[in-house]
Amino acid sequence: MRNSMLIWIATLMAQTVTAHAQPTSSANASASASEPPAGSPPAPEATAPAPAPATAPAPVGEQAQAAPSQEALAAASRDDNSRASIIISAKAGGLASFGGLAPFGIWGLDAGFILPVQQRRLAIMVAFDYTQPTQTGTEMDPRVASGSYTWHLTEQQVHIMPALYYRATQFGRVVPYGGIGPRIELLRSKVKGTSTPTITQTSESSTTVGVGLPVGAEFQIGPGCALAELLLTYGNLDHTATGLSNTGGAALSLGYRFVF
Amino acid sequence: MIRRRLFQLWCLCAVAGCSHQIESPQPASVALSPDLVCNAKPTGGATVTLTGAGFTPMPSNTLAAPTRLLLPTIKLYHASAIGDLATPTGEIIVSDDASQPSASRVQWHSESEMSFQILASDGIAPGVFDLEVTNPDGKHAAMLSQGLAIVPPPQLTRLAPAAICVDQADQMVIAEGANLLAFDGALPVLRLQANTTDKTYTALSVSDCVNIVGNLVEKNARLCKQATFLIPKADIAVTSATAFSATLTNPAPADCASSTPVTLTIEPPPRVTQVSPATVCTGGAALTIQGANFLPGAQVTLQCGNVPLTATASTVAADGTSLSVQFGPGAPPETECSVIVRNTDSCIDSTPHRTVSVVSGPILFAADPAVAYANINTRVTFYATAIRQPVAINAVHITPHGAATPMTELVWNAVPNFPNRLQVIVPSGLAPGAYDIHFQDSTGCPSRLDNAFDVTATATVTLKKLVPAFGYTGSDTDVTILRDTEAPLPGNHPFVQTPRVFLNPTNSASTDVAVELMSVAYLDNDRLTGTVPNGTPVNDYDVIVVNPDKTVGRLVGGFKVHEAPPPVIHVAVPASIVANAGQSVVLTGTNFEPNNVVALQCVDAAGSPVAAPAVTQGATSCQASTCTKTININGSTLAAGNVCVASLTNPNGAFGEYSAIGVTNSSRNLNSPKAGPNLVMGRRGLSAAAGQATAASRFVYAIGGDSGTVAGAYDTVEFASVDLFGTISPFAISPHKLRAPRTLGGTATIGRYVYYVGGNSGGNASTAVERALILSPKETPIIADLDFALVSMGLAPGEYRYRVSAVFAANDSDNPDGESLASDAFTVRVPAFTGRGINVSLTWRAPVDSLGAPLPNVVGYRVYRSPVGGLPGTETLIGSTTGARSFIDDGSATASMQKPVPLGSTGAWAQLPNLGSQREGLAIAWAEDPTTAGTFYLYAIGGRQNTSTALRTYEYLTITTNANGQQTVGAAWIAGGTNQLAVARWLHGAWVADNTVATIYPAGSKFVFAGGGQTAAGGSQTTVEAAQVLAGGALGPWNDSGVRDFGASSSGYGVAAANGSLYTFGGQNGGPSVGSKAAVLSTPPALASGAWNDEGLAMTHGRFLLGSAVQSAFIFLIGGQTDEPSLASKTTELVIW
Repeated sequence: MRNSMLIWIATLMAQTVTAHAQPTSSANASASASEPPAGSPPAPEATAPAPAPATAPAPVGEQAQAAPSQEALAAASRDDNSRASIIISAKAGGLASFGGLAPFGIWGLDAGFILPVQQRRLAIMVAFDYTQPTQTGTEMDPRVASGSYTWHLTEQQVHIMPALYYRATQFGRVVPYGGIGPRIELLRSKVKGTSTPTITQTSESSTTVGVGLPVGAEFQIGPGCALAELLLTYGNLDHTATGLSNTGGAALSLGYRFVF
Repeated sequence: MIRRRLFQLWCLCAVAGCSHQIESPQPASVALSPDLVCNAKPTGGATVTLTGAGFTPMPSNTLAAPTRLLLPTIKLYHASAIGDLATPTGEIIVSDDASQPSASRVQWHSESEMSFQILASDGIAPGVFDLEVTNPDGKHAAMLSQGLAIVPPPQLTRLAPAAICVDQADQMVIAEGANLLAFDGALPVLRLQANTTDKTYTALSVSDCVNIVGNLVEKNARLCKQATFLIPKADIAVTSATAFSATLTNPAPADCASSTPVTLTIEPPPRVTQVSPATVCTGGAALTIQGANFLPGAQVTLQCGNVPLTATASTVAADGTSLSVQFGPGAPPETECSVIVRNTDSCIDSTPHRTVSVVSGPILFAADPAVAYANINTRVTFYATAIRQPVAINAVHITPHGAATPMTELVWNAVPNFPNRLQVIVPSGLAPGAYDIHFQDSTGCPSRLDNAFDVTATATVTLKKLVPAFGYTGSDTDVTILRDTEAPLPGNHPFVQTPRVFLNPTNSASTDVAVELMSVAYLDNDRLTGTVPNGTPVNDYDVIVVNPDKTVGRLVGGFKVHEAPPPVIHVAVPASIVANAGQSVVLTGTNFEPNNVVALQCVDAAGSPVAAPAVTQGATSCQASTCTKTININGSTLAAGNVCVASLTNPNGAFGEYSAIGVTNSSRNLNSPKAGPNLVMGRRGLSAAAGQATAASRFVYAIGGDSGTVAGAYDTVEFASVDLFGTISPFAISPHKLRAPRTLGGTATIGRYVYYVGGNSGGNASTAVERALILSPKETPIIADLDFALVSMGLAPGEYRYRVSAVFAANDSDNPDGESLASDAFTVRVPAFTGRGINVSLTWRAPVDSLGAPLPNVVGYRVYRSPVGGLPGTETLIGSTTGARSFIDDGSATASMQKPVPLGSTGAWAQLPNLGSQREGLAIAWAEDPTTAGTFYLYAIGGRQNTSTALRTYEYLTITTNANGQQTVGAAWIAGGTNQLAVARWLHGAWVADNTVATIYPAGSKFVFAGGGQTAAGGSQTTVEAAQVLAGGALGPWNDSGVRDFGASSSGYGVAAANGSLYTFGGQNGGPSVGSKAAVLSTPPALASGAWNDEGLAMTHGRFLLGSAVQSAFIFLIGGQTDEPSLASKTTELVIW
């Protein structure tokens, strides 16, 4: 079962990456022909003053991309408002559930784009994360021969969260950011009895939609940025096994993000 | 584009958010234990355990709290019904609410075992079910087909018996109810509880079951309505009647118990402490028994040796401490009897039983007659087993049957020589109905005969008259009792076989007792005969006829008994008159008183009354006992064919009748014959005879003959009764046959004897002679007494009728090896004795002759008895004795089909001395000695010796009549010697003429005439000859001078001598003819000129070789070869002359 879950997650991620990779090239193509369509209002960068490279720290991504040379960095600085960047990050942390599940680790991958607008302060990303918090309890039940039973719930969760991020790039090497986006939650409750007599596992699966609110900061380190992120999530969890609960929680993760 | 894709992904997820599924394991291999449960088991109900795999519950609501465990769902589907029990519909889900686990019916033990409960409160209807287990995902399930049977609890509605006593024997108790479960090796259990006693008994068997069809572990499971239990002897001890609460419990696993207890009472055995009095009577007794535990309906038995006697009535005191019982008759005298009390639960009092002693006492067992008329004093005889004298004057009472009052005391008298019977006078004025007789002799033992007799007042029989209507106190008087057949309803009830007839003094005093007639015989619905006994007081009497069916006829003043003997007319000369004025007739008889009056009562040929002619009374003269009276009849008011009965009435009212005087035309021609009843068998060459059993019982006989050829000769005899006016009843075969088949013989009737002479025995002419006696109802045994004996096996209770006849020795001259008529029926009512039978002991008196002397040569008796309740006339032979005049009927005899000899029968035919010559087709005549009264001669004249030889000779046999009427014959026939007919012939006739036939003949002058016939070869022979009867019997010379011959060939004709003439009937030219010839007697022995002229009558059939007989004014012409045509006809006819 566990293997199948991993396969399922991998499949989702692969699909997401694939879906992302295609629009990337397309986006490049689009970017190369980034002229607004006829009749559309003029692009904001055409009127907005460019940030001063000397005073504004370079975005982490930009730094990572510009790292090979000063010229590249300068060019990148020049191009902050005109060039989209791909960002990929990986993170891991811990999840504190609001729905009664025990704290558990969480792993995630983000991928997205820094939009070439607003001094690259906006980004669109899709976050994939996985966690399987559990819970255990013992209940008295006269219908059970022993008078009680111990149940064990494993709540497997795969989240796919497309989100819009605002990145405060004006702080130099530190880029605080925040975002918001829906969370597609693939949930599987596996419940069983662990006391004697044991109860064979029954699984219950469902898919639902929640919301995520990531808040974090990037620290330009090396070719990319280290990041620390606090993700606040919320979604319904209404399984027979669980009862009416939620997938809400606060996940604090640390990771590293590449900006291309 | 990316936004678009994300949006698409979001939408996809949003849609996918509706998807939701649960996956549980698959359960499998479900089995149940038990698979047979009760739906109303108390205290936790019935628990059914499921075993298998994959029974996986599912914890739920783990994060929302409270956490609940979802168990697999158990469903029941009705698969089949059990008998006619109501069936559930739809599915039944075993209750299990995870939110209320304490109320759940389901329990989960492991994934391989669950259980659920069936509670009475669930109200699950019985039946056979499929069971399904479904895991919480609702998709994975397992099914068990017809694997669970749910049965209702047993119902106990009744225990039979409801009370038992187990003190002395095992007791079987049958429980009735419903839903009694049984299967191989398991049966319901009966539980009895009372106080501290708690017993259970497993059924021995069940019945009235319906099968439970399912895949059950229990084999041959069924629900039943009845079960049988054995309560072992002494398993429950009680000292008083104890009510036990009885319940039924079905066998596990469906071991529900019945909810409504039924009471089974366990009773202790009765206990006897005292019995009083200490003695009982054989005729019955009343006892009082003290003790305890007597139950209502308790029976008491006296065990007297091997004889048990059960109480006829028993009353138990309310507290069960005393019993009042009554016993009927039957306890063996002088025995010691144990008093045994048996409760209805079959327990008896413990041994040793109390005892009582039996003392003798009378047992009444019969009363005769059984029906008494309410308006007369009737003498009734009752019979007892023993009567101990002295008997108190008030010893006999009667009460209406079954009632204690009113009690009527009866006057009684002892019966000399019969110590076991009493006669009582049943007084007139009793209310109609059945009566019981109560009697107590000096033993103090009461005796009772229930339904001893009936008193009736149903006067629906109308009597017309008695003939004669008077009698003589000094002798028996035979009478005929006639019913008024034209009486209107409801007075036209017929006589019923056989009535009792009484003479009750007219204007009787309260002390007068009706006189009963003897030898009453039933002739038909309208006629009876009987005998008024000698010694009946001189008086006028009402005649009372009491039918067995309790109908009564009363003829006020219908009979009178005179001090002087009544007149008797022996003969009327001439016996017929011309239908003209001035017809003189001389009546000869006895006891003609001066100033007697003669009258005639006449009927026409059809039997309808005609006006009586005027009769001028002539002088009466008597010499010694013989009297004559001449009357002159004005016959002009009569018509030819009328017939009159003459009655001579003395001044005291007594009269004698003579049957009959015929009426002819002026030529004295005979009247037209009228047809009579047919014979039973067609007969040719037969002989006819007429005779009387008593003065009032007359009969005509057809003897022998053949079927058309001599080879078909018969040995049978038929007879029929004839009344005063010639009415013939149907013929019947006599039980006594000729000694050998005979035809073409000759017959004569002298007194009550019928002689048969010669003839052909089927091939050759015969010399044989035999005779038979017409049996008299006065010469029978008389049942004199009877007695009863109680035995283990005997006659069943009921009413029986006995008759006894005498059997005579082979050498008896009157009735050799024969049998007399049977006695009057004697009715015996056999009482019922519980557990016992009755032997009836009959004793009788030997038959006596008219002088009262015992008949000789009686060597035995035959006893006839009706079946129980049989009507008179249904008696058949049940036994015989070899001389003893008593018989014990123990009921073991198998009734045969043989009935008593009927009235009118002759006795057995006795062989007499043979003729000197073989003679067939001979002529027979008889005459009294001209000088010696009581001596008769029987003549055999002519005939054919063989096919080539006809005889001219005659021979005669001397017959002497004794004072008692018995006749003795001479040692041999006496040949006439050389005094022979002028011409040999056969198939001729003979007549005897004297002054009773023709007044022209002087008194004492008697001539025998021999008519024409055939030669041996069949040629015509018309010669008529006559010879005088001489003193000593020899005939004077046959004289043909003046004795005119037949004018035409005749043979095989019938003959009659009467009215001054000789007649022939039929036989003209040797074949059937209808005419009759007559010759007027003239100066003896001449026949007047014109002799053998045609009478001008035509018989109903032309006849040849017929039988003819004369009785008073009637000529009977019977059978023969006729022009029907018939070689042997059954037809008969009657001519009045």
